[in-house]
Amino acid sequence: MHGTSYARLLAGALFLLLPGIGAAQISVVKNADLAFGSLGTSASAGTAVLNAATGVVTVTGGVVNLGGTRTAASFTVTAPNPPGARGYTIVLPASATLSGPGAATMIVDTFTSNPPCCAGLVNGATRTQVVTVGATLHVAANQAQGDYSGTATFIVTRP
Amino acid sequence: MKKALVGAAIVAAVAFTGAANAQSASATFSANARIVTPISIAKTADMNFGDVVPSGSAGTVVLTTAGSRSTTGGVNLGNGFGVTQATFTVSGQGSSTYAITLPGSANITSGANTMSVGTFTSNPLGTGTLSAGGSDTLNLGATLSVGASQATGTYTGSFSVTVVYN
Repeated sequence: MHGTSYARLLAGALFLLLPGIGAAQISVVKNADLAFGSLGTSASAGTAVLNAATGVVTVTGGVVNLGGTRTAASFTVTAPNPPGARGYTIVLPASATLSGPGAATMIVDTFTSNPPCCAGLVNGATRTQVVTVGATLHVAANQAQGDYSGTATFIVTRP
Repeated sequence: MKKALVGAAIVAAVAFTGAANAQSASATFSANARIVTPISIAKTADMNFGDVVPSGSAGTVVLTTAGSRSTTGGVNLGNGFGVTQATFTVSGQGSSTYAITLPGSANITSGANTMSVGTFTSNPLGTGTLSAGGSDTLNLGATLSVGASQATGTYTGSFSVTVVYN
């Protein structure tokens, strides 16, 4: 009978500990990728800027805005408990290279986020918060036609 | 049983030590874009009103986007050989739409004599759609204003039409 009691006690202790460990971890899940849609090129270079907050693409230089599916990258950050420990910092990539047809590439940089990155801790009103990310795509003069894709990493940290 | 309890206590201590350290989490995402063919326009036929016979009163010749002529006022139609609307081939990304900007008016001249071409119209008008293969044909018509006793001669002039992706 003593053996049974110890076993129950042990099971109870583990049950209490596991939720505590899980809640202390910050986590991030991707909801959507960054999509600049369709862009037309010309004889002069330019950029396409995707607004993190609105998902709207604006173009500069010789780039032509042709619509298509535009989305800011989106992530759900789940901050740890208790409330006092919900702060976290967003770390955005410096740049990413998109590969296209043949050896053609384009560079994406000047990543931005909503809420903004890098200004310190972000305190969400709830344990989960959606963070959207935009960036600037650099299109060369007469950039080769085709689909371009590349990857980057979104990081959140807590002290 | 005592050994089992000691083991549990060690697990708990390790877990809390880990929780006290700085943490980070990351997610990989992709960035993508589609680069498409620039739009272009090339003339395939010039606009030609054919032979026009003036009279003592002014009038107009209306040339449709299909290349047929009609008149108003004191103008009569002469030889219709070579009469045609202006035609263009628009090329670009398949299935894209584009906006057409027509000229306001243009003078055509024969030496020191001039006539005005205006009221341009087009088919398609305003917005065109490229085929799946990325081309479209654009036809332009216009109205030629002929003066009373307009001087004889061959009148020519140029104008431009602009297309941009919507």
